[in-house]
Amino acid sequence: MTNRHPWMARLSEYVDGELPADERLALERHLETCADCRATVTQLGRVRDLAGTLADREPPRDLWPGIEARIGGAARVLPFGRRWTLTMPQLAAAAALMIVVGAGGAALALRGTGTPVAGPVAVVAPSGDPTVIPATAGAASYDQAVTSLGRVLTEHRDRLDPATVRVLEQSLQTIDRAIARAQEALATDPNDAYLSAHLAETMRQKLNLMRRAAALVAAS
Amino acid sequence: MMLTTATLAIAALAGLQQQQTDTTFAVAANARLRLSNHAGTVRVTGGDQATMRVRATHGSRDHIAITTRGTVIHIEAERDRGMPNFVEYEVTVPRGMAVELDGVETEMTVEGVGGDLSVASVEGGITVRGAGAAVDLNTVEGDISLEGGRGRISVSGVEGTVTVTGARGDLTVETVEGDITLDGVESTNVDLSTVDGDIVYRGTVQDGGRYRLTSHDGDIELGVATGLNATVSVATFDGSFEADPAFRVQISEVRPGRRFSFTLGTGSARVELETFDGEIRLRSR
Repeated sequence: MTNRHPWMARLSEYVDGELPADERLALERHLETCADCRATVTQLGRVRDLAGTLADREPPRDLWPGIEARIGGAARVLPFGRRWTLTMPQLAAAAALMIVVGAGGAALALRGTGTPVAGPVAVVAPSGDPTVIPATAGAASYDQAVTSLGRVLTEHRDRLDPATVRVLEQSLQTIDRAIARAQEALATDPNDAYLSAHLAETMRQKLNLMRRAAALVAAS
Repeated sequence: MMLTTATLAIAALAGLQQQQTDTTFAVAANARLRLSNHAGTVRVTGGDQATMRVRATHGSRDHIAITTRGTVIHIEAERDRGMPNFVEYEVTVPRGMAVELDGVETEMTVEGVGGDLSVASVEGGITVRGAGAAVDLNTVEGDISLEGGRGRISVSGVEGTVTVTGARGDLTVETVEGDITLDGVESTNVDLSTVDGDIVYRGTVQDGGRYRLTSHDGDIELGVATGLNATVSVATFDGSFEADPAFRVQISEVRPGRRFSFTLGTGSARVELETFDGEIRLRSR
């Protein structure tokens, strides 16, 4: 595998424009013939773009103390423009965790300002700089965010019309089935770029829907 | 429409008396409309006058509050105690006015509005005709239909179909359970995704543009004129691909069952067609 994708470990540098010119040209020659690496470059670009979107989403200031208390000293600041060091297996979690801040914010809005949500891993400081726990925490943090949002929705489902709850739950089940199928497929071929990307996209859709649902509850 | 009928029936059974509000007033050229309606219907129509006319049918214990804060005109039903009942609005605004509508159990219709448009409901469909600027549409349960739109166009559903025709601009359409159909679209940036549904894009693929159509369980159809310049990436886990012979597709890389790509013309545009389980079709039109 290493021989087939000699540039895999350098793709994030390429996406960030940090490769020297000679290496960039060599990598681009490789990209012309390697669909897997092109797909990975596309995914890395999306992660970067998602993070760029997050930089504009500043959480309400009254939420910040709870978030800050939760992440404590474990977080490290990655100023925008810093290099992403994500490997192929991390892409699914990385793409999904980019919107965890929205999920966490919605949960916090429901729980009140003093109660931190469990495990936000990507947050935006009042300064606008993204604060990110290392990407290796992505999968666990994704699960925590989903669990936290799910708990909020369960506890406050009576705030929504039963028909709306039915639609949301049915749609979440649909997405869960899609995630399960993608995970099964990926288990048979862990290095498949499309399956990794597809799983990441489906996880992102689940978090996005849960965030929307939590926002509906908060607004009701 | 079922929602409207059902709610009216409930109102009739409850013996609620209906009342009409009808008022017309001048509005500034830079005025914006923000209307909230918890339940009922909203129909906003663009007109040629520099005035706004608000007609509402509502319960006798409710009144329609129209207030202005800065350049924003707020319209909302109010009641001394409790939530207002079902309200049917018909509002005429200057054609170029920016309009923002939100509701919960509300069917929304907008016609001939040329300003920026934002419409959000929870249980209710959204129909927009003759949009002339940026559009943001959002509902949970209900079909969304958009005709027109310029600039940034965002459509988000959960359960229901999404249909977009004649739009010009950057399009993002996302739903979970429902088909997405785009027809007569001119765009250099298209992102369409659903989990359980088909996607059909009939429009232009322009040089340098980016087009991404993804589903988990559904078919993908790209209907474009031959002679386009695009690098097309196709991916599926358990699906198939077919192209009209007119495109003379020569696949340059193949990984059976997963991903392959091919180049049409100069390959200037980037096109991604992906479905985990479904047919991917490239059609000439």
